[in-house]
Amino acid sequence: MITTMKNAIDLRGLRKEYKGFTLDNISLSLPMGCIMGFIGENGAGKSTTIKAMLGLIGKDSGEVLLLGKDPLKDRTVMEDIGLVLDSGFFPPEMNAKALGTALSSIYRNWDSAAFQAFLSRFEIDPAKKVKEYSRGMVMKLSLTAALSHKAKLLILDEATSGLDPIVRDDILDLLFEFIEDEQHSVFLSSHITDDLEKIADYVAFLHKGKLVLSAEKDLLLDSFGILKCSEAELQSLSPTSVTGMRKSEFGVTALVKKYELPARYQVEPASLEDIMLYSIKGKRQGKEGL
Amino acid sequence: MKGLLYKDFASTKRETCICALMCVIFLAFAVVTGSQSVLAPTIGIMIAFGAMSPTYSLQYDKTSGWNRFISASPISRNKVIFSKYVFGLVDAAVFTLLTMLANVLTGNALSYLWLSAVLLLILALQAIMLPVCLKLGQNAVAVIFMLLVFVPIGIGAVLYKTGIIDKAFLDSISAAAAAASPVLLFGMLAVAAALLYVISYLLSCRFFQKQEF
Repeated sequence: MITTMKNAIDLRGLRKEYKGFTLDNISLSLPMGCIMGFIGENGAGKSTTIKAMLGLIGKDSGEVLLLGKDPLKDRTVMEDIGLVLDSGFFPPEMNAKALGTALSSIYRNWDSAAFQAFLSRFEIDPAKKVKEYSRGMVMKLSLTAALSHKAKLLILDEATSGLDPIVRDDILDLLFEFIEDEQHSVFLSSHITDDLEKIADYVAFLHKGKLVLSAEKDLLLDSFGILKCSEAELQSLSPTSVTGMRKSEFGVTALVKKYELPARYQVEPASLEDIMLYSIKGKRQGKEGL
Repeated sequence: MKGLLYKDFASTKRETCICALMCVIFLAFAVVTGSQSVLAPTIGIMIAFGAMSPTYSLQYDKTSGWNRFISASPISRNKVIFSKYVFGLVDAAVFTLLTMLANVLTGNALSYLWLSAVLLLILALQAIMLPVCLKLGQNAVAVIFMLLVFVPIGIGAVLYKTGIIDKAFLDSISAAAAAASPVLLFGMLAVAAALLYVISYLLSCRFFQKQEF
């Protein structure tokens, strides 16, 4: 059993089975003071993983530790966790002011001054009802609430999906500020890989309920590259160096492990999106994915 | 707990205002017409609102997504359910007071025993409705409520019409109730309602613990 507090999140062998879908043996760790981007296509199981972590759904097996504690056994750990989900979860008939009053009795470390400050920063009208907010304002309100009780860990599930680039940038700036002191961590699930490339320290990639990889983002981006060549040239490479390929009318484009290729090959930088696309849709010399 | 109750009252303000408006209309009609025959339906409406109001709160939390948030908060799921039952108790008290007001304004003040019976009936109905709402949803609550109201009336009517029970039997029941000590009668009803409320709470906690969001 893991007892260290070095990690903000520890998942060991997390499993949840549904009819037609299984979250299968998810194991990952998020060190304190870091941001982890949790990527995967729609339906990969990102939300299921987060819900199992938080106790919103039961798990079939596995261990979950948040800030060193099992949230199902010790509910007090949730005082230190801020949550933003993909859709709003505040009563539509309440306004921000009433919500702040309610939340001040729910969280022991509620900071009303911080709540007011974030409402002003995000230009949220405290008298306006939640049902009158746009999606972006609802996300900002959720983030405001999550940041107003001195949380050490923020968990965001598709929080930036459907938002315009300006609002997304505001949220990313806020997350950067949040982890500045290295005592805070962020776990952010998204299929918008551009956002994660900007801020994540670690990336975990989920595909069809299985964790395909979990690594430092910079290391990942440094390890992989995009090679454009002919099919014959691709066939001449070691199979282990090619992760996925896609055919085009001019030849093939392949996601390759840069350091396993001979020096003569010109490899372009790969983005997280490339890694995701080629892993899911690319074919590795007859086999699919990573 | 305070925060949960505040949230319940703040978020059901609209429904509460609609209920209050309907109560005022009934009361005003009774007072203006001086009609005693409006009293029984007025009391019936108060009992129905009192019984159903906490279920609106449960349903509201489900549809707004609040259950997801609160189940990932430091508040335990049992405490969330406890707050609904406290909300129900407050509700029952308010609607009993409105019933008393309706009777006073129409010059037909009810005894404390009868008012207590109204309160205990609201609590007993809440005790049935709350776990039904959690397990089966708000639509089932409406159906169950109708069955609880009309099935006993229907059975009674059938028994009376077929002669299985007659006026003499009903008179003997009334005489026995009148002869019984009011305190003893109230005590028995109160214990029964309290027991039902506790069993209901335990059942609701069990249902809510198993729910996935």
